[in-house]
Amino acid sequence: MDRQIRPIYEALDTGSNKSAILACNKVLKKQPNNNLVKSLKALALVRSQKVEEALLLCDEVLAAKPVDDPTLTAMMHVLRGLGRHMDMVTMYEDAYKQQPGNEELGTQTFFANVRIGNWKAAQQIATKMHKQFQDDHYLYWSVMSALLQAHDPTTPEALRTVLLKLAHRLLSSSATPSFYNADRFHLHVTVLRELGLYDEAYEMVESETGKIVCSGNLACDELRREIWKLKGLAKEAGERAEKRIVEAKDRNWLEFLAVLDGTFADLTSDPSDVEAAKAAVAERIPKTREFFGKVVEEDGVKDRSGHLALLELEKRSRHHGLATDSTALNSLLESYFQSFGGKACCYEDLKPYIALEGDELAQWTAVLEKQTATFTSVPDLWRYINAQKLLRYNLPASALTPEAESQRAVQYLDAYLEGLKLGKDLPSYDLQPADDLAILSAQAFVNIWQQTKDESFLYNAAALLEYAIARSKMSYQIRLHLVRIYRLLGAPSLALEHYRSINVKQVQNDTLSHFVLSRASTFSLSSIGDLTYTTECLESSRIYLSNSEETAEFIVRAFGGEKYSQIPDFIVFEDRLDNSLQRDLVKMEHVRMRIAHEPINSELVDMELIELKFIFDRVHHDNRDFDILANYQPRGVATFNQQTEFLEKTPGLGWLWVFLKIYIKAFQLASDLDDTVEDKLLIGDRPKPSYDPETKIPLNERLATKKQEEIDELTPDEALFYEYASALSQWLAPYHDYARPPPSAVLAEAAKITEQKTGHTLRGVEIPPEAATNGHAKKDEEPPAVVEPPATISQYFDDMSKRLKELLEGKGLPHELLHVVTLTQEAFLLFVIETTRFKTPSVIKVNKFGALAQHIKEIRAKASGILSEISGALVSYAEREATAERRKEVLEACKPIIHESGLDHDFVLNVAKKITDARKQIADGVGKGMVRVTKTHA
Amino acid sequence: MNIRLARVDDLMGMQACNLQNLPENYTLKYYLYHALTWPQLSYVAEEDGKIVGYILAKMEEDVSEGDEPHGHVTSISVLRSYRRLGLAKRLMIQSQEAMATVYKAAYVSLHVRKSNRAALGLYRDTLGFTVKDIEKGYYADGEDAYAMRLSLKHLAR
Repeated sequence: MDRQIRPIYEALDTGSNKSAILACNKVLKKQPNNNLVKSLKALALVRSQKVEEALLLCDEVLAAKPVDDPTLTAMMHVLRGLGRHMDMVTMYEDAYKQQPGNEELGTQTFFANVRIGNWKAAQQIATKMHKQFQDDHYLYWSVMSALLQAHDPTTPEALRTVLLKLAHRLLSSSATPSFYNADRFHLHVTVLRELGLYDEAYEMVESETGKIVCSGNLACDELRREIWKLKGLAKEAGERAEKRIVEAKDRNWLEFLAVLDGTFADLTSDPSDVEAAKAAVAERIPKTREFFGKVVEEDGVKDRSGHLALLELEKRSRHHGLATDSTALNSLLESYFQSFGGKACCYEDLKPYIALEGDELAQWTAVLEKQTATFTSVPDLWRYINAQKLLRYNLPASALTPEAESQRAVQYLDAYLEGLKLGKDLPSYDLQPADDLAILSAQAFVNIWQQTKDESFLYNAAALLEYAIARSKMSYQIRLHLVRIYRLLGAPSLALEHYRSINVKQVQNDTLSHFVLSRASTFSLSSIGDLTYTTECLESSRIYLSNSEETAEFIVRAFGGEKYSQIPDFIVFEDRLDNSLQRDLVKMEHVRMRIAHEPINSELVDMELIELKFIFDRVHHDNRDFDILANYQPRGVATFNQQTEFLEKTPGLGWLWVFLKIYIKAFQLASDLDDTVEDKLLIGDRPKPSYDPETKIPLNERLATKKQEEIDELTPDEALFYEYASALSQWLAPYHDYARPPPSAVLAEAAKITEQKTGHTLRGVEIPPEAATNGHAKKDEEPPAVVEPPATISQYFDDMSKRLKELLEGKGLPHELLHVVTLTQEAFLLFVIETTRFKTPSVIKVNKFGALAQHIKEIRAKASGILSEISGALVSYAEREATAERRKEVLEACKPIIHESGLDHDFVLNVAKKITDARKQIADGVGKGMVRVTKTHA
Repeated sequence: MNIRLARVDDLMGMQACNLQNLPENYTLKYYLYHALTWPQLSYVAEEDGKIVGYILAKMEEDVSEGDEPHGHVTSISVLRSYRRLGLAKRLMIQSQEAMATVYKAAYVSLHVRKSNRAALGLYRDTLGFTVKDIEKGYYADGEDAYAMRLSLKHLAR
């Protein structure tokens, strides 16, 4: 037997699924009931994407209830590949029931439940295993599972305490004390904390053994710190921290914060006698100041902690009205700038303390203005950069006129060019120390654009940043700035090029892909078959697949290795990636690009319908990183991130919800699947039911609900599109509902296709004989009368045509132009999706929908006409872009930044060419794509 | 500035530090494996809730015969604007202590680009590493690496 099986494993290991299947078939010929071979064949089939055949074998093996380890292991991989985690649980449970003395089977059953987060069952199995095998670690598995069930959002409030009490009881029944193992100790103290038993928890961490555990394990020590805080021991924690700062020379900022919290504890703990508390704190402040002063004396400029602590002390004293020396803040700021002005972090360090007014501001400004742009060393250069950033932060509105900002932008740029000399010998992968001056200059230009809406300032910013990136190739900061500016300028190919040069990988895809993929369908050329942006969507989404394949395994391994303190972290991490908002925003963009490129048939419609419905039930986490984009704008104006957002609206959850509603409704109308059919055809588990109460409302009601806070996230043009989409679906719904074939007919059709593909019938589906013969079953009701389409529908296309004309005549930026145009095309495609059913003559005839067909024809003709018009306008716009004249305009606009050498005329002309070419490419492509789309769906 | 143990959900923040640095390409799995297998060896430096530096370290898994158990620094990174503050040194020392006390590591090893003079200075002059070997074409772009090590015997308890 072994001799026959080994080649199968070898083939699977080397990824040659075909030969694995052949080898399996050979064995199965002689032993048709060999479950191991069947499951191995199923695995090879899953891996070669032959899902239907795999399902068949898989179900046969499951029905036989296997218990042997090789078959179970093979099946585990098969089921994971099919996304059938629930079946995996059942399989192991059945096996464990047959061999209750088998510890390994028990463990695997526990793990199967862990993988799907079924903590209730996991807890019960662990308890049972503890009784049976008398090993303490099963007890702790059980405690951990109870704790996790208590944390699960789906667990009702009342049950949570019960579960925590259960965990507590289990812990006290343990034969060995928890401090034998730091992670068990951590779990024990966590349960006490959750139950609010702070005294008991305090006793544990402060016991002889507890102290040893905490000193050797930072996770436990963090928990100890928290218990102190929860017990209200701020003063004691402060004293302890002072000791650590002096004796252990600990310079962790948390210790300094503990000293500060201790100093003000009387006032922050809701005192009954405020005056007495004030007096006590006033007495303590000088002592703390003296203490920090000593740290500063000892550390000098080696460490920033003492210096920053003095600033924080002054800030808090002022906040409580207990500051005694009005000059103290200024002199602390000055001395900090003296000591650390040459470090890059100085600006970020001081930002929380410099929102000054009046004389204080004047004095501070005078100090900073003394820094001149003559520097001979990198710290000198940094001191100048920090001074510029700090000055800029406090600029009043009166100092931000376009003229003043222009002057500043040029001044930053000149200093940048000077500063480049200091870094001329750096290796190519290193960053230029002067980079931030180029960024300051670009931000000043963008700020002028915000005021004047004159895009020539954006050209200046783009050209100087292009110059800077060529000298500092690894600067992601400069590239992100360019990405933002190129999107505004409607040059998406350049934006994508810079984004790709950042070399975003792994989890960064989740946090950063919003820079290029937010509203990416505006910039996609999928309509003419250019799938660059479509591919970017798929590439950036890979991380979510590796997360769902890998992270759950790490949770299992964390249980195996008893790393209890880490388990909640892994679970949070998995959840944050799995239910990432960015993931589904990208998915939505992908759908929007897909429909412009692929034929709109039932395959596309059904699949997307199911996927979007799953997303509609998710509770999302927003992991997008916006803070990564540096902001050096003055405190009174919008941040650089806000200034460069696409039409000033960042798509968030509300935006996603609107687009889900639009597309689920459209696909629902177009699809023949109803819920009963969907259930039968679905492979893999449904996602866990959501705990959001809104998901309990019937789907159609949810789809129809419009919420203002969601609409607020839309641009005005998107809001119009939403109105159009609602009117369209409302008008067509009754006809779809009437004409949709009955579920039995849909199933019969699906079964027929499966049989053609695999030679087997569809599992679990019985086809009533009458359904299989006739797709158009007789209906009892009369067809709904055809009514006139709402005026909104055809009006929409007129409105958009008008919008485009306005933009072409006026000062709309190119991205706004593309936004209007692509939305109009999308409206047409939505119309196509919702009317494809009525293209079939027999559907019209049987349902007496002649009048409806006429209306549809008229609207389609009108929409096509407008799309062709727009297309023409875009193509001629594109031609105007790529001319020498246009390049010269851009060049002229960049006069303020052109220098004699380096950043010279030729360099800027080259950038102008890149921008205008990119712009031509997108406008031309989108324009031609529109014609193609109307032809495809004529 | 605060140094603390790295946690799994720091991963998103840690990745930001990696943006401007050398193009190493570690998979999700590799990070998770470090976090789970040697949780005491990896640290992050945090400032106002933002991760500004980290060290990812492990114990060598295949110790060849005659060699002693030792640690290895997989990756160390500090955000540009937080350099020259002694952060890398603090991260390194924190991890080295754990290697010596928790895992009884005899020494710690690491690789550094031949051209990376700043890092080389830190390892050799500030931390006392010595160059053991040169590995030809160690990096994906073909650059050579210095293999460096530092004895941890003085930290053994």
